[in-house]
Amino acid sequence: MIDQDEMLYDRMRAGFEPVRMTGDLDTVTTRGGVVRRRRRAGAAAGAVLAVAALAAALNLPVTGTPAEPAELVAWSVAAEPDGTVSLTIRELLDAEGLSADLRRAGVPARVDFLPPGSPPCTGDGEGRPGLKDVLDQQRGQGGEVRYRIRPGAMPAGTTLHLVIVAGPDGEGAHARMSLVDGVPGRC
Amino acid sequence: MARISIEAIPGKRHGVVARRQDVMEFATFYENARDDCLRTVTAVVGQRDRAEDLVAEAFARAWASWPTVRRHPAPRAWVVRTALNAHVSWWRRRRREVPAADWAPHDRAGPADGTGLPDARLMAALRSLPERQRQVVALRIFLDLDSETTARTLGIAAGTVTAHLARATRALRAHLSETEALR
Repeated sequence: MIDQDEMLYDRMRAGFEPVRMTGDLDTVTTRGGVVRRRRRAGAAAGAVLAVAALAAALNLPVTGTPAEPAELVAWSVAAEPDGTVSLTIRELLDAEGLSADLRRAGVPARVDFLPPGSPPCTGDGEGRPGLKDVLDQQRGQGGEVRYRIRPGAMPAGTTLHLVIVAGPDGEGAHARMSLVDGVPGRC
Repeated sequence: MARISIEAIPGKRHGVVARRQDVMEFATFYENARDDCLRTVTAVVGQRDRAEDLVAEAFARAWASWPTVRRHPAPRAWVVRTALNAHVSWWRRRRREVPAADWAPHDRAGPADGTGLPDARLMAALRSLPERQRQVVALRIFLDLDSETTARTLGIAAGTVTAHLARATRALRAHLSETEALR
């Protein structure tokens, strides 16, 4: 019986032999760096808030370093040398994390991922004009959605609101973008 | 072997020598373990491309915590356990946020000629098993873990592992014997 079990296991191993990782080590370690930085960022958040509060109290400018690119399986955010921010969405996961990464990259933004069948998000009303100056959308070769965002074109005090509603399995999702004054309305 | 920068070093081990050792250790670990981990997770979750995402993320977390993971008695089991935990989290989220197909259409299953995929008959046989049996048999076959280590990895008793493995093996043999002479 044991021999027969081993024969079966060998058969299974042979059947899975073609299954090999295609990702390279650099991708893994880069993502590992993001995980590590986020972990540290969480620990440092309190200290940063304290410094910001102190700076505000003393009317000092708050400075920082440019945000590092965020490269995740679900999405990527990167500040480009020309002042734009590139955003690629592959999966509708962790909207709050994506919103935070966009803000770190200099884009006041809120992202909402809504489940299939959600009613239209009308909290923003018509929104402000000028969205086309801020946002370009294109479909990538792999089918993922890419945005190029120009934060410099956003009027002061506005927020970019990106709402993406998932479709049922096998159907396409749709998105609604708005440029709104202040904080976007809840969906 | 792929190159990685020694700047991206986790933990607080100081000195260039220690950092180079970390880099080399992790690179060797990744090189030796990645395919077996992917096969294990593929056998459990049933989707080759989803499994690759999960395993890549698990290796990334292993690198982020390498000073800890390197001391783990079974680092490959740690990676698989992390990937399976992420799969559970993903599945729970997915019930609220279903990614539409055209948002993640890029198939990393392998070359377009269909290579890189497991044997379809074996996948069908594995899908016929309850999830816990799939986990036990996958850890046994692809990571070659003994019952004790499998039990610690899955958080169940060693005797339960033995029972699951026996049932899974019997069911797989019965399933495959319909098309192959394995009995």
